[in-house]
Amino acid sequence: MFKYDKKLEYPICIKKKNLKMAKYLIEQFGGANGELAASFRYFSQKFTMPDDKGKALLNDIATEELAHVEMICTMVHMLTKDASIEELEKAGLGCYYTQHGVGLFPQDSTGNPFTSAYFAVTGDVIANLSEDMAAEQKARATYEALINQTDDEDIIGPLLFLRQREVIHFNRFKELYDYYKKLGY
Amino acid sequence: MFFENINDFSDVNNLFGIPNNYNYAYNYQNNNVNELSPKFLRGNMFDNEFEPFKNMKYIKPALKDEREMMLAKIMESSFAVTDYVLYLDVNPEDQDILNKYKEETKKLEMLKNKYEKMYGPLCNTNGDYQDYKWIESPWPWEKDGGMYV
Repeated sequence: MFKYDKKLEYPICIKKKNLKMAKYLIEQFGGANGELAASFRYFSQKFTMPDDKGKALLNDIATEELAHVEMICTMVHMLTKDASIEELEKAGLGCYYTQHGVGLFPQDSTGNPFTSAYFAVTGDVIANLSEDMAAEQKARATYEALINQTDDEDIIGPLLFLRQREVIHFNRFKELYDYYKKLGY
Repeated sequence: MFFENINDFSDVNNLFGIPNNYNYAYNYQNNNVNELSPKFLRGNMFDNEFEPFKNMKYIKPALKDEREMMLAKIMESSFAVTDYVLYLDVNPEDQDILNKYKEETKKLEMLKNKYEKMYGPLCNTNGDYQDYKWIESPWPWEKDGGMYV
C-alpha cells in the first residue's frame, strides 16, 4: 500500500499568478506524456515484470511519478489561485472554468480529457520498457518547451528538477532493458 | 533518544563527523540555501548522468524561515534515498551506493524525527502526539504566506 508524506518532493512556492503557464502546465498532469500517465503506466506494468529488478524498478518509479503529479498540480493550483473569471477567459481557460472551476482536472493543454489509453500496457517486457523509455524522453522534451515558455524562476526551478528526473528514469529503464535483452527476452 | 533537546544535534553530528559546535540554527536563521546540496537541487545524485538544459543547472528555492529550511533538508535527504533506490533496484550489487543509501536513510530518519517533534507529523502513521495534529495546515500544495510545506 501507499503511505503519504506531508511534503513535496521538491520545494515549490510560486508567488505570481500566471494563467497562461497554468494552461500549458496542465499538459504534464493529464496529457499523454504527463506524470499521471507515467505513474499508472509503470504501476500497471509492474505486475508482469519477469524478475525482482523489474518489479522493484517499475514499482518505485511509479511511486515517484505520483509525487510528480502532486508537484504539477501544486504549481497549477498556485498559478491559478485568486484568478478572476475575466483573467481565466483571457488566458483561454473560460471553457475550463465552465466545467471545472479552478479545480484540478486531468486534461492536456488543449483541453482533451485524460484517458487510460495513455497507459500503453502490453504483456511484453521489451515492448513495455521501450514505451517507458520513449515516454521519459517525450516528457523531458515537454519540460524543455515549458521552461522555454516562461522567465519566472519560481516555475523554472521545479521544472528543471522534474526534467532531470526524466533523464534519470530513462537511464534506469535503459539499464533494465539492456539487462533483459542480455537474458534473451 | 534522538533529539530529546531540539537544539542538540550531537547524534547527527557524530554520525556525519561534524564538529559539535557547528551551528545549524544560525544557518537556518540566515536562510543559508547554500546548505542544500546541488545534487538535490539539480535532481540527480549521479554526476556522470547529469544532463543540464542549456546553461541552466538549477535554481535555488527561496526559503523564508527555519521550518522551511528543515523541511527542505528532509526533501534533500529523502530525494537522495529515492535516487539511490532506483539505482540499486537495477544494480543491487553496488556496495558503494548501498553504503551511501544506508547512511542517508539514517540521516533522513533523524531529520524527520526532529522536524515532527517541532511541527507535527509528516506521516499519519506517526501517532506520538498529545492532539490530532495531522489535519493541520499547511498542506504541501498551499501557498498562503509563501509556505510550500
